[in-house]
Amino acid sequence: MTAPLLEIDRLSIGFKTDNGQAVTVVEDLSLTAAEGETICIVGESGSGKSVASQSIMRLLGENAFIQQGEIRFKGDNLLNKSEKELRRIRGKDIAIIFQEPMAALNPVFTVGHQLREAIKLHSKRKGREAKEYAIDLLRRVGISRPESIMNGYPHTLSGGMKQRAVIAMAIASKPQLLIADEPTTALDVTVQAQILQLLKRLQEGSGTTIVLITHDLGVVAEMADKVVVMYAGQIVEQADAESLFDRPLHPYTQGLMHAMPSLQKAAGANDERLLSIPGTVPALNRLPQGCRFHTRCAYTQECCKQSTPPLAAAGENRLVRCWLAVPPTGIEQNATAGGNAI
Amino acid sequence: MTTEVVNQESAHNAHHALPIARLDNVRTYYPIRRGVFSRTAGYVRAVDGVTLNIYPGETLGLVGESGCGKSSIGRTLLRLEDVHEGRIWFEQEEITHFSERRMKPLRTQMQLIFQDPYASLNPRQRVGELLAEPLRAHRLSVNAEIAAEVDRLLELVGLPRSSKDRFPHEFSGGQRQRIGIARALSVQPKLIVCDEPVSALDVSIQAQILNLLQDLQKELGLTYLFIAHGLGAVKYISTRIAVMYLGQIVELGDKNRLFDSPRHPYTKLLLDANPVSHPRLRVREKVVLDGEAPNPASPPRGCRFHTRCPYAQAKCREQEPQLDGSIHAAACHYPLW
Ligand SMILES: Nc1ncnc2c1ncn2[C@@H]1O[C@H](COP(=O)(O)OP(=O)(O)OP(=O)(O)O)[C@@H](O)[C@H]1O
Ligand SMILES: Nc1ncnc2c1ncn2[C@@H]1O[C@H](COP(=O)(O)OP(=O)(O)OP(=O)(O)O)[C@@H](O)[C@H]1O
Ligand code: SF4
Ligand SMILES: [Mg+2]
Ligand SMILES: [Mg+2]
Repeated sequence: MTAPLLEIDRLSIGFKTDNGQAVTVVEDLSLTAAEGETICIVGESGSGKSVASQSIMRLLGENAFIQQGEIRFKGDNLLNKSEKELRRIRGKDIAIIFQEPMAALNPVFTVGHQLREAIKLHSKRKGREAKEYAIDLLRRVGISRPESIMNGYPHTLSGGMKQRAVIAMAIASKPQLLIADEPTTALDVTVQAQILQLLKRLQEGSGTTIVLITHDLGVVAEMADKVVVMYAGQIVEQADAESLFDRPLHPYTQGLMHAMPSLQKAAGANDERLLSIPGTVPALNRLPQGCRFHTRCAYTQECCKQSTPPLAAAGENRLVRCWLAVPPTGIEQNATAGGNAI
Repeated sequence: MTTEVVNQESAHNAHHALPIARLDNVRTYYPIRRGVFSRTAGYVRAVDGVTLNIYPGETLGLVGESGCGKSSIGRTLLRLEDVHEGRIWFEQEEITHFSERRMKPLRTQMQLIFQDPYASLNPRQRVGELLAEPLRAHRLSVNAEIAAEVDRLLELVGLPRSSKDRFPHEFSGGQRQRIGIARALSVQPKLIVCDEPVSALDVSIQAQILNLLQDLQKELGLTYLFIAHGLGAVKYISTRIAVMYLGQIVELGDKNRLFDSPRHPYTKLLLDANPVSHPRLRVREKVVLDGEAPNPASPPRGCRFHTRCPYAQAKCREQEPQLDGSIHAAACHYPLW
C-alpha cells in the first residue's frame, strides 16, 4: 500500500509566551488523510484547530515551535524541508483557505490580477492563456460573470463572492490537499450551502483531499468522511462520520451534539431544554489535572481527576480519550459513556 | 391598512392579547450619499413596508439572509432609526414621532442585546459599575439598594458575585453575553430585541445562553424579538417566526408549522440550506438557493424574490404579492400549499 497523502504523527506544538514560558497548544495529535477523503476537525474556540492546520503549511509565527512529531506529505516529513522547498509545495500541492477571505486577497489589486499571478506562479501559463484559465476557474467556482469580476477589486464583492474567488486561487494549481479553516463561518447559511456544495463538486472532479476545520457539527454532518474532535489542544475522539453521529463515545462529543439546536429533531423535542455543557473551556495555561474535560463532565470519577486518559482504540477505526470508554486497568467501571448515557 | 392586514390581525386576536408592540407598514430607508456635496443619490430600502405585531410573552423569531433588514427592524422598533413612512406602537401608544424626552421613560421598557456584548460594554468600567449605572439613572438611589440589586442581577444571569470587581475583558464571550443580558435586565424591560445574541459563541455556550434567555422569559414575563442566522437556535427559542427577504416579511407563522411545512418558496430554500444533523440525511444534488439577494436600493419589480425563485411565473414579475390573511401567512402568488 502506498503511504496516505497526509500523515500527522504525534505532533505537539508550543508557543513561547511573553513572560518566557511555553504553553503547549496542540498535544500529541495524530491523523491520516487518504486521497480524496474529507477530514473534519471540529472543536470549540481555542481548541487548537487552526494551529494544527497551519502547522501543515508551516505557517505558524516566530514564537511557535514543534515539540515533537512529524507531518508527512506523501511520505516526506514537511518539518525537515527548507523554506525554499516549502514554498514550492505551498500553494501548489497544498493550498489553504481561511475564514476571512480578505486574508488571502490584496485590496489594491484586481481579482483578475491576483488570480493570474497565482496561475503564473505554479504553471507555465502566461498572458492570454493565464487569463483564459482564470476565467475558466471563476466559472468553475460558480461566478456567473467572470470577465467583469476579473476587473473588479476585492472590496466590491460580497463575502460569498470573495470566498469563491479565494477558492478559485486555491485550486488554480490543482492541489492534492486543500486545507479549509472555517471557510463558511462568516457567511450566511444560504451562501454556506453554496460553498460547501462547491467544495464537494470540486473534490468529485479532482480527487482532492480536504481537511476542513469547523466548530459547527452541521458542517461536519454535511461534509466529513472522517471526524477528529478536539478539546483543549488534544484529540478526544476520532471516528468515521456516520459512527460518530450514530453513537458519540466521548462525553464532550455527546455534549456538543445535545447542545446543537437542530431543525431535524423529532417534533416536540425542540420544546425541551437544550442540554448544555456547564462551564467554559479551560485556558491552556490553567489546564486541570487528569482528563482536561473532567471539570465539565457529567461522569467524572476519581481516576479522571488524577491521570490523563490515553487516546485509545474503541472498536473498529475509532479512538476515544476517556476513562469510561477505555477503563484503566484495576479500576471498577461503573458507568458507560455510550450514546445513551446522557 | 389593507383588508389582509385586518384579517391577520383578527386571526391573532382570537388567540392573543393586544400586541405589546406593533409596526404598521413601516419603511426605514438609509440615504446613499455620493460626491463632494454628499448628495442623496438614492435610498437603501432596508425595511420596506413591514407590518408586524409582537404579543406579550412571546418570542418572535426573525430570520433571513444577511442584509435583508433584520437589525433594521429591531432598531426601528426601538426608535433608534428614523422611519421614512409608517407607524410604530408600543403598548397601545403611537411612538413614531416621540421626542427623545418622551422616549426616555420608554427606553427602560425596551432593551437591545447585541451579538458582540464587548462592543457595548465600557472596557474601563468594572462589571459592578456597569450594572449600577443604569440602576442609578432609572430606578434606585440608595447605594445599599443598588449593591443588593447588582448582586441579584448577577445571580439571575448565573455569574458569581465576585464578578463585580472585574473588568469585561477578564470574561469569556459567553460570560460577557451574560453581563450584557444583566445590564439589559437592570432597567426591568418588558420587551428585548435580541440581535444575534449567540452567533459569536461556541456551541456549548450557545446552549447555555439560549436556556438562560428562556428561563428569564418565564421568570420575568419578557417578550423577545429574536434575530438570528442560525435557524436551529431560532426554532428552539421562538413561538412564531417571521421570514424576511429584501426588506419585507414573506412568511409569518407558528414555528412548528412554518418549519415543518413552509408555504413560501424562499422559506423552503432557506430551510434546505441549513446543514443536516446526521451524515445519513445528506442530500446529493441538493437544490441550493442560487446567487445572492439583489441590491436593496433597487429591488426587483413584482415579487422581490422572482429573480431567484424556481416557481416564478409571468405574474410574479409584474405584481407584488401581499401577505395573505391567514394565520400562517405567506406573500407569494404560488405558495407551496
Ligand atoms: N501566535 C500565537 N501565540 C501564542 N498563542 C497562540 C498563537 N496562536 C494561537 N495561540 C493559542 O493557541 C490556542 C489554539 O488556537 P487556535 O487558533 O488553533 O484555536 P482554534 O481551535 O482554531 O479556535 P477558533 O475556533 O477560535 O479559531 C489558543 O489558546 C490560542 O490562544
Ligand atoms: N446605517 C446604515 N446606513 C446605510 N445603510 C445601512 C445602514 N444600516 C444598514 N444598512 C443597509 O441596510 C440593509 C439592511 O441592513 P441590516 O443590518 O438591517 O440587515 P441584517 O438583516 O441585520 O443583516 P445581517 O444578518 O448581516 O446582520 C443592508 O443593505 C445594509 O447594508
Ligand atoms: S411569488 Fe412567484 S417568484 Fe415570488 S416566491 Fe412565489 S412563486 Fe416565487
Ligand atoms: Mg481557528
Ligand atoms: Mg443584523
